[in-house]
Amino acid sequence: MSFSRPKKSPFRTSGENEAYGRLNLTALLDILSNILFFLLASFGAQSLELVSEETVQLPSSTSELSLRMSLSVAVGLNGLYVEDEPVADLQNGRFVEVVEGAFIPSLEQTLRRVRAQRLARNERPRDADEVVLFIGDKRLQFETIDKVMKTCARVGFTKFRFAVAR
Amino acid sequence: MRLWNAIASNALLSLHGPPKLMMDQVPGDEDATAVDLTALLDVLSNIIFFLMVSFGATLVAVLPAKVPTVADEENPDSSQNLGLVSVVIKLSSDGGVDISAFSEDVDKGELHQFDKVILGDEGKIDAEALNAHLWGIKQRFESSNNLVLVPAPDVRYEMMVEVMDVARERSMERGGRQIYEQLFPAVIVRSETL
Repeated sequence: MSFSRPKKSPFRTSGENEAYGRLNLTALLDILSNILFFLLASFGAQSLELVSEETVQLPSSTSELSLRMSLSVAVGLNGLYVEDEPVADLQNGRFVEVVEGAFIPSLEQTLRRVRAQRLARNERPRDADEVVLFIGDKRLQFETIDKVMKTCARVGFTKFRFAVAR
Repeated sequence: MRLWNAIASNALLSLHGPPKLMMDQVPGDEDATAVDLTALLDVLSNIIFFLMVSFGATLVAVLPAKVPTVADEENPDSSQNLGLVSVVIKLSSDGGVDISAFSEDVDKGELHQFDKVILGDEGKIDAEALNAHLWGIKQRFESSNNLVLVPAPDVRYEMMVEVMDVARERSMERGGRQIYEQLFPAVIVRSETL
């Protein structure tokens, strides 16, 4: 029975450290930092939390205008939210509360309060203070959307950005 | 066990420099500890990146729109609007569109030639025909950008967005290259009853 020495590993370094495997993490960290940078650049400003209404299905669009945050009004099939705050209930995309005419009183009240708070924080109204980010479910009918838009316009928000999925 | 030895010894190396032979190590056993995980971890981190891209959040874009407002009567500067038209699209839930053009200073007889009704196709809009007709209006009134979208009460939001997409730009090939010509990107949404 003969004992032969195992062949030398191609990974082994010379010198007294050769008995211990040494991880060279430099290349790994280089790659990871690059990946992290591109990940942040791609997703940082474009992620939109639809926590206010999990059932909102955004319509798809070919638009490439990037998302800029402003006052968000989310309308799903079961609820209406302003900045994640529940404002009104909907059933199958129709308002449960009695809506007189084209305006939604609870939405108007909330928007006036939020607008006043925002303007109080800034010396001059910024673009983001004048625009509503409308997050609507693609199955909604215009009858519902119209009421929301008209109520927003009554408070002073006449410009909208419709959130769409690319 | 050998892998743990390698990791532990690597940690020791970074703290105290190369140690002497450990008690449980025998001469000739050194090759087992020479594990280089760098390449493996590189590949794994790349895989994780592509996984995150695949399963990440939906990318969200925006479409700008306005609602009609009362004009400022103190400054009725209509000189800037000379020769400009606004395209009005009445949209019904069956996908049918009724197109017309409106302007304060363009002859109505000329505008009427752009009136057109395009029937829907099984609840969907005829995007190609709509886009082609809007392109015809755009070629005549190049500086005009305004579109007034008038959906019927039962039109779904998805269809509104589709019309806005179709009316925003026209894809065409010129000189062997795909280009996108702007049509009517400034959208005003209003109901039939103001």
